[in-house]
Formats: sequence, C-alpha cells, structure tokens
Amino acid sequence: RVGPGPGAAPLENANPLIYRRSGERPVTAREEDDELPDAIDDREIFDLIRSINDPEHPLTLEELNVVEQVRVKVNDAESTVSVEFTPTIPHCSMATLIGLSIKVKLLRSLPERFKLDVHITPGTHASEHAVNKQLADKERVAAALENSHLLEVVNQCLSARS
Amino acid sequence: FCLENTDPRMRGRGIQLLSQVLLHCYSLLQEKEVLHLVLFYESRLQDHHLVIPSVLQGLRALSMCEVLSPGLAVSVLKAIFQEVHVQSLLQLDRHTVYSIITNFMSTREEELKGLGANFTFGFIQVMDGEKDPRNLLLAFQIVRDLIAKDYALGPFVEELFEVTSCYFPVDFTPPPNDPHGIQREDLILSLRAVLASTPQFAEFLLPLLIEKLDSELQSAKLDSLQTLTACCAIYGQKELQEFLPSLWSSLRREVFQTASEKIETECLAALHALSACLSRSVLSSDSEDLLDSFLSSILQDCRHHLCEPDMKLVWPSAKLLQAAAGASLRTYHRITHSILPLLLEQYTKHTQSSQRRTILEMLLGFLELQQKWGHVEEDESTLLSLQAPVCSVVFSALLDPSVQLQQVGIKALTVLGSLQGFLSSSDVELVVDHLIRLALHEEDSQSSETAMEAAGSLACTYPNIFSGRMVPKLEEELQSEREESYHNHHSLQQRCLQALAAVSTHTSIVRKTVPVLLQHFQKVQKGTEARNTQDMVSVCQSLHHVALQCQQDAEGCWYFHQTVVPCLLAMAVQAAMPESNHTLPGEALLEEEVLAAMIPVISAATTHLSPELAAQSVSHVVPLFLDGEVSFLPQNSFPCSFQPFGDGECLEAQRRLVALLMAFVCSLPRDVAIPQQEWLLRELLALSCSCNCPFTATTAAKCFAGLVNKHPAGQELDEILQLAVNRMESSLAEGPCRSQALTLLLWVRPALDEWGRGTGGPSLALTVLPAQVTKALVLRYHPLSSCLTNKLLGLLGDTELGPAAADGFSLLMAESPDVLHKGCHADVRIMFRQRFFTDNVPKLVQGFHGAGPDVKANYLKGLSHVLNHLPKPVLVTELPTLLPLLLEALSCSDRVVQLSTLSCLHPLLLEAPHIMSLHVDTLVTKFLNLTSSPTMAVRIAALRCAHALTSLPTTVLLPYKGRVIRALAKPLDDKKRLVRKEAVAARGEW
Repeated sequence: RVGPGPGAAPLENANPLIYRRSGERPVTAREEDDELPDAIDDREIFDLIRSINDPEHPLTLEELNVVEQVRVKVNDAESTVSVEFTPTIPHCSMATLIGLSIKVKLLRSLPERFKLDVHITPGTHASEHAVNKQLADKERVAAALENSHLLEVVNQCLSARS
Repeated sequence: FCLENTDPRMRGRGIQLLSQVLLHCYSLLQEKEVLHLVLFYESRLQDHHLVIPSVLQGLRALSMCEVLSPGLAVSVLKAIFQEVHVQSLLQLDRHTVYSIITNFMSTREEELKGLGANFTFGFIQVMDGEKDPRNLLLAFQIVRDLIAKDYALGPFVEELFEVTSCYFPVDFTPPPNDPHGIQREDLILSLRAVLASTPQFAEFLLPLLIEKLDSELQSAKLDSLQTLTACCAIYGQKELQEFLPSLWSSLRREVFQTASEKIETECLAALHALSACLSRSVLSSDSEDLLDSFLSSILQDCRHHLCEPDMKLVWPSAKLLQAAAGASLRTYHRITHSILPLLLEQYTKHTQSSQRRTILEMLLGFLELQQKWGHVEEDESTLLSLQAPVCSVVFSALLDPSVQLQQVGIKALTVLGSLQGFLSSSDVELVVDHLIRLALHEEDSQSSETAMEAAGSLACTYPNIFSGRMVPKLEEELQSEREESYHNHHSLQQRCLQALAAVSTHTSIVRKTVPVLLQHFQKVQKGTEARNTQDMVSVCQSLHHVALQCQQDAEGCWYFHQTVVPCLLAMAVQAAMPESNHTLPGEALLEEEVLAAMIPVISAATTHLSPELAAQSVSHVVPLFLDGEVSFLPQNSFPCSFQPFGDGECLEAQRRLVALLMAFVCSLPRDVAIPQQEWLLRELLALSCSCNCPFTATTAAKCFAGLVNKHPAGQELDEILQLAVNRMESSLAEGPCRSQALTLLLWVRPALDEWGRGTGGPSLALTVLPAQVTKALVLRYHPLSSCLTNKLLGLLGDTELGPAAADGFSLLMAESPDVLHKGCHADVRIMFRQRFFTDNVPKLVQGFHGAGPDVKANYLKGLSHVLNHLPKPVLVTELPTLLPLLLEALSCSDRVVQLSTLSCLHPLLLEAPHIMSLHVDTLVTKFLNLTSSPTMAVRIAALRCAHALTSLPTTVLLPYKGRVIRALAKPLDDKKRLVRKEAVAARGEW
C-alpha cells in the first residue's frame, strides 16, 4: 500500500519550497501549419506531467520542483521516454504514489510505441531502489491500478485543477 | 347543529365550512361578531384533534380582521400556546399557526409586547422541532422580527438560539421536481439573517462557528465563515473579546492549509470583517486595546513567513496581513508600520530576481491598499517616511534583467504615481525616463507593453510632465534616421507609434501627439521603402487607439475629429488623383490594407460626436464625394477634380475612397440628417452593381446598407429599396454566367489572371449587395427583408453562386466590425437573430431536403452559419428538430461545414447532455472518424467534441469506453503537436 489519502494525517512537509510555473508553451507558426510534422520533444512530455497535482499539497509537481524539464528525456525516433523525479524530502512516503501518477499519465497520453522509464533522481530518496523497482515492475503497476481506492487517488492527482 | 354534533368528524366539517366562509368575508365582520367568533374558536381549541385544523383556519381568518378588539390577539395566542401541541400537527396546519403569529405580529405589535417574554417562550415551543423547509422560512422570519422589533426575550435568549441554531449548518437538498422552489441557499441566508441579527447570540454562536470551522465538511466551513463575516457587522469588542484567539488560530489554519480557493477567500473576508469590527469599537479608557493585541498576534504569526520568499506559506501570510490591513486606516498603519520596513529590508537581502519579485509583489499589494485611503496623510503615514527607500527599490526593479520583476516594478510605479503627493516632480521625471527606456528599448515585448500602459495611466495624473518630456522624446526618436540595421530601426518606430498612442490619455497630450502622428503618416506616405504599407497601417492603428481613448471626452473627441478626418481625406484624395496615379509614392495609400486601417480611425472619431458637431462635419464630407467640393481640406489645391461617382477608367482609384465615406457616414449618430441622401444612395447603388473591383463594390454595398438601416421609414425609403431590388433582380436574372461574360468583354486587359478576377468579382458583388442590404433590413425588421432573404435562399440552389450565398448567411448573422453595429448607432433590434432563425431555418431545412446532391452542402453551410451565431439557450430548445440535420452535416465532405457543425455541437454536448445522449452512437462514430481528417482544425475540433462527450451521463458512455480509448490512441501519435494536445486531454478524460 502506498501512503495515506490526502487530508488524513498531518502533513509531512507543511511549508515546502515552491517554484515558479512555466507558462503555456507558445504556439508557433510552424505548429499552425497543417503540412509540417512536429516531433515529440522534452517540453511536450514535460507539459504532460508538470500539471499533475501533489497528493498532499494543492500544488503541482512542477511548483514543488518534483519534476523538471531537464530531467525529462525523450527520443521520438527510438520511441523511448525517461523521466526522473525528485521527492521534496528524502523520507517522503508519497514517492511511489507520485511515480505511479506520472507513469499512469504518460501511459494514457503517449502512443503505445513508447517505452516508459520513470524513476527517482539518484540520491534523493531513502528507499530509492525499492521505489524504482516497484515502478519498473509492469505487473505491480497493473495490480496497483486494479485497487479502486488507489486508482481514485491517482485520478485525483491527474485531474485538472478547478 | 353540525357544530354540536357528537361525532368529531361532523363537528370538524361544520367548523371547516364556517372557517371557509370566514376566510372569504373576514373583512366585512363587525367588532362584536369577531369577539363572538374568537371566543367560540378559542373554546374549540380544546376539542378533538380532528377538529383542530379547521379551528386554526378560522383563527387565521380572524387574525386578518382589522376590527379585532384589543386584547383578543393576546388571548388567541395564549390559547394556542396552551392548548395546541403544534409539532404534532400536519405541515399545513403548522403553517397556519405561523401565519396567525405573523399576522398578529404585523398588526398588533404593541399588544404582543405586553405579553413580555412569555410570547417568546410560547413561540419557542411552537417552533421547537420544526422540519419542513417551507415552515422554517416562515419561522426564521418570525425570529428575525422578534429580534429586529425588539420584543422582550427575557431569560429565553439561549433557548431561542438553541431552537434556531440547531439547523446550522443547513443541510438540505430540495427533492427533484420540488414545486415549492425552495433552494438550500434560501434557507442558509434566512438562517444566517437570524443568527447574525443580534449581539446577544454572540456568546453561543461564536463557539458554534469555531466548532464548525474546525470540522471536515467544506460547506460547513464556508457557511460558518460567511456567517462570521455577517456577524462582524453588528458585533463589538465585547462580544468578540473572549473568542479572538481561537478565531484567529482557526482562520490561520484554514488559510495556511486549505486547497480550496473559495475557503481562502472567505477566510480573508472574515478576517477583514473582524479587523474592521474591532477598529470600529470605541475604546473605554480602562479596557485594553483588543485591536492592537489582535493585530500583534497576526503579525507575530505571519511576519517571519515573509522572510522566506521561496516557501509555500509566504503568500498565505501576505494575504492574511493584507486582509487585516485593508480593514481600516488604523489597521493599515499598524501593519504597514511593521511590514513595510521588513519587506524593504528583505528586498535588499535577497538578490535573486524571483525572490525579489515575490517581495515586490507583496509590497505592491500593500501599496494598493494605500490607494484605498486616497491621499497620503502627512503626519502618521509610514509610507511617506519610507518614500526614498520605496522609490529606490522600485527603480532598481525597473533596471533588473528579469522581465517578471520589471513588470511588477512597473505596476508598483503606477500605484505610487496615483498616490497624490507621494512622488515629487523630479521623481516623476525620473519615472518618465524609465518608462521611455522600457517602452522603446526593452527587448521583451510584454514589458514594453506594460510600460506603455503605465505611461497611459500616469499621464492622466501628470499631463504636463508627460507632454513636456515624453512626447518630444518620442517625436525625436520617430524622426531620427539612424544608421542602424533596418530591422532595429523599424521596430523602434513601431514602438514609438504605440507609445504615442498609449500616452494620449489626456486632452492636452492628445493635442501634442496627434500632429506628430499625422506628420509621420505623411512622411511615410511619401517614402519609397518597401515596407511603407505596413508602416501606414501601424500609424492608423495608433490613431485608432488615440481615437478610442478620447471618445469619452467631448473636447478631445472634437479636436481629434477636426484634425484627423480632413487630413486623412486630403491625403487620400491627393493620392487618388489621376496624375499621381502613375508615380509610385501615393499609390500605397490606396491599398486595401491601408484603407481598411483608416476605416476604424474615421469611424471611432465620428461615433461619439455630438449631433450638432457631426452635422457640421457631414456638411463638408458629403459634398466632397458628390460634388468634388474640396475647399475644407488642408492643402486643397488639387490638379484635377475629385469625382468618385463619375464614369471613366481613370477614376478607379477615386472610387476606392468610398471606403472612407462609408467609415464616416455609417458611424454618424442616427439623428444627424445627411444632405442629398437620395442622390448619394442612388450613386452608391449604381457603384455597387457596376464596379468590377470587389473591394469597391463591397464597400459601396456596405455603405448603402448602413444608410438604409438608419433611413427613417416612409415612402422615400420604399422607393429606393424597390430600386435596389429591381437592380438586383435584373442582374441576377441575366444569369451569372452571362453577366460575367459581359463584364469580361468590358474588361480590357487580357491578362490571364484577370480572367479569374473577372469571373469572381461581379458575382461576388451581386451576392454581397443583397446580403448587406438584407442585413440592414433584417436588423430593423423591415417588411421587405423577408423577400430579400427568400431570394438569398433561392440562390443556395445555384451551383455557382451557392457557396457565396451560403457565406452570405454568416454575414447576416455575424457582427460586422465597421458598419451596422450598435457602436455605429445602427438600428439593431433586439433578438433579430432569434427571429431570423425562427423565420428561416424551416425554409433552409425544407430546401435541403428538396435540393440536388451537388448543392446540399450549400444549405448545410448556410444552416451551420446561422446556428453558429445563435445564442445557445435558443439553440438548445430547437435542438431536437435540427439534430438529425447536424448529424448529416458531419458526414458532409466540406470542411467548413464540418468545422462549423463541430463547433455548434460542442456547446450542446456540455449544456444539453440529455438530448445528446439519445444520439451517442452516431456521435461517437462520427467524431472518431473526423479525428483522422486531413485538416488539422477539423481534427482538433473533433477531439474537443470527443472530450466534451464525457459530460454525458456515465451510464450512456460506459459501453463505448473501450472503443473510444482505443480509437483515441491513434491521434496521440498525430504529426501535429496541437492535435496531440487535444487528444491527450480527451483520452485522459475518458
């Protein structure tokens, strides 16, 4: 089981550092042109995950600096995506849930050809190895999403902010 | 007899009859009769329970009697309180009891007050345990009156509070199909009015509010906060004293931790109200100053968070402080005294731009509060004593490389400037220099724009400094011919033009800037550079901006009109002279783009003129076009005459200037008479039908339409319209092909591209004219309009003109920017779109069913244009009849039709999900098909609709879930990023 639902226990990190949100990606003339293809790039992947809500704060992963654009790598031609995320504190019990949310968001938003790799930025979490292993295990991810309570929490993180 | 029957049912019926009679004739009763009846009814109250309802009805009738003798009201109520156990009655009968009490309270106030606290007690017993919302609304009203009219509550304050507060927070969902229409909100407001009606409740209410505020339930929190805010309006120090610490800690906790913006706003409002309440109370000499200690605790809890501009709590803290500071002048001084120096110190301590920005934004918040108190008070303002450091902080922000910090700095500057007497004139000069630098030389366009806006708003306050310092500087930059790269120079000039327009917010500045702009316009016109069309357009945009800014000010508006309109006309006429036509320079002025840019300038300069001035101006302009009367133009020595309506090859250029005539004439107020209107209309009609140039023909048609729309009804109007209709009919009857062939022969130049223009031009003009004229009439419901609309409908069936006619429908329904809208004083009737819709859509549908396959698309296109411009509520009611047609339109191959149908269906999916659910199968299939359309815009719209499908009921969607999610995987890999973005949103939602 991954951490408690929002609001149940006192916050682990009540006054975290917050970071500025990057603006909407400006639409370029090239993107408006019907003919030219646009490749999937780092920024596009980052835009997918930056607005995911943190499970315990009314803030996005971007504002908490859990995800950064420099830690997103994509190769459109080889169909691979790699995302590193950084928990706010090394003992954050939400790390698995955050990783799962990122993974689910990408699974839903990327073409099937992509191979996903979501892991914790090396050296930023106490049980980094265990969490990475959980996230890489397809069956465990699938099993986690069978759990309706957990799925609800993940969907809450992924839902657009009101 | 019945009344004495031993069977209670019979007695009941007897009394019921009597009560019904009384309800109808209570106003006719004599005092003695009333007395008798009252005594009878009172005695009946002890009767069998089956009889009671009718007895109460009778008493209600009697309670409305005006001749009720003194003392009877009291005795009736006493009897009810004593004999009847109200809460065991049915809802309706309880309602009767409340009505009796309400009636007596409104007519016999003095008598009831004689009862003292017993009345209150009696009522408490009556009300205790009430559950029906209808009765509760009445009961709450009675309690409110008890308190407001100062009835004796005696020892029963707490009981009265208990009996009402047990409903707090209101938890009520009206049953579906509720015929009484009582909403949760009604009960909440009504209860709140009771609870917040007297300070006597404070000692019981405040603990309750704190308890509910600490609960988990969002709605309870909101209600508590709003009630607290309401209470603060009547409470004083005494009531609040005991509870302040716990109120503050609850509010602080909510603001620091809540995820809901609504709760945060309400918390801040409550804190504001609390502080305002405390600052209102008059201090007695011996009590401690509660406000002071309250603010101290706020400061103590929030102050240190302001020193950590990266942390999450910095903004909640700042907002709390600002809410408290905004409550009164006293709280403002107390808080700024502590916070402003702290913020200034923190600003210098932190060096990163992002941190500085947060600090400056907070500072800005406090400065804006100062604006609320108007002027800076000499003696005690902390702000004034900090003038120098505040200025230096703001100025340093302006020099920072970070754009965001600059922008906050500019905003702060605007606020500082608006504080009377805060900036010295040397400071203002410095400000102006900064603004010039930012507006002209800052690379980031956003900063430059903000700087221009700031200049505009400050220029109102300091017109002299701005016109003396900024305008000359801009003029100089505009005229300088520096040896820079062309591109730099060009963008600098653009900036200058924009800045000149932005700063023209005061009449005295307008008088300086307009000549500069006109002069520049003339210079550009004479220039030979390739980009001068664009330059002219941007000058026109600046002029338009200025015109909009001085519309409200009669003097500035007249000045602008008088200066700009003749000058533009003169330049245009000059350029259109046959001789100058062969030389390069003048020609650019006559290009469509430039003329189109001049239209809004003239239009904006005209719409707000007073009728007298407009009449003065019209007497110059119309003769110019009809008679070539040029004497009012500056530099009016032209080599040959100006005859835009004359015949002849070489006059093509002059004819184009009809656009300027249109801008002027169609923007005049409706009551300004136009000289020689008849003649003008005939000329315009002839021009629009005969001219080969689409631009000229269209503008002439527009001008004609604009005039016809304002023309007073009567014979003259009918004649000219008949003429127009005949003209149109004859040219259309000739057959579009023949008329084109005819024009082609006349068209002398045999170049190949001219063929295209030759075929397109006249037929286009032919459809534009009816559409424009029809619009003019549709707008004011003229009887002829339906005849013309039918003509347009007929044209839809034409293979060649059909598409153009279909676009004509969009023209009819849309708001046009330059003529025929309310801003131009056009006669626009309300609901004309709805009316047009009900009149014509059946015909369109009919036409569609009767049409051949090659023209069906035209009807669909026309229909979707009409639907696109219709207000959504109307659309929803008409939906069931039209939906099949719209679904058919989705399979139409024309992408314009696809696009407009999709944009039509999108709001319907969101607003009328139940009707759309019936067609979910077709919708899903069609939307998914269109996601692979070759056109990007259609793919995007289809995906948006697929996204909107999720607002249909879940049970309807469930069978499609798997299929849609699979199908949406494909557009995730679309080659266009914008399409992928919509696909992600849609698929995520599914």
